[in-house]
Amino acid sequence: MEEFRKKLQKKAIAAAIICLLAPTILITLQIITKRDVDTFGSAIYGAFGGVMTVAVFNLVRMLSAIKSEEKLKRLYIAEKDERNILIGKQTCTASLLIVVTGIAFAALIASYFNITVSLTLGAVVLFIALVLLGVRIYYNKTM
Amino acid sequence: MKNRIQELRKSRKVTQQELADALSVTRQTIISLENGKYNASLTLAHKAAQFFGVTIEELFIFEGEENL
Repeated sequence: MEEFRKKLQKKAIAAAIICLLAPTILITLQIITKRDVDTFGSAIYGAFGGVMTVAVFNLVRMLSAIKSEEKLKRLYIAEKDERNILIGKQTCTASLLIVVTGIAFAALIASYFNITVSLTLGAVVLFIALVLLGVRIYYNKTM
Repeated sequence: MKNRIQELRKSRKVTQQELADALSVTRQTIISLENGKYNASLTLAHKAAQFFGVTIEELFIFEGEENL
């Protein structure tokens, strides 16, 4: 459990740095560029705000777990629970398949309208396939 | 794969949460195991068998052809 606490402390420090650095960079860029915040910009800021809220919530959860033995145990169980881990793996596999299929279809449809978009999407599919192949080879050799 | 977790747990008057805590898993995992929706790993099966003081074969009933 002490090892998990140390790991959690490192994670909390990393999360705190990101929580501080990300809005600082965004605000600095906004001040420097003086870009007009149009509808698209507002949507981006909104999404960023949402992500930051979740990140801060997670940070608070980690910090409270570091201080409380009971909460630390609960978090440890939730993170190490084999069913949760399996669900995470299955979710990643299914999501990847859906995303790649979606992009491949989009590339096919885009080829009728805009060849540049189609080639870009095709390159994305190829890149994902190469990464997948590389990771698969790695795990085949290490397991 | 069927199992006797619910039967043994009830006979020993152990709650799902107590069993989950003893096996270091979530209560949801115990529920899924009891409902037969999830098959335990070898490690969890071993821990559960140890907790109930039975063998893995007594706790989990293998029914031939199953998805491995």
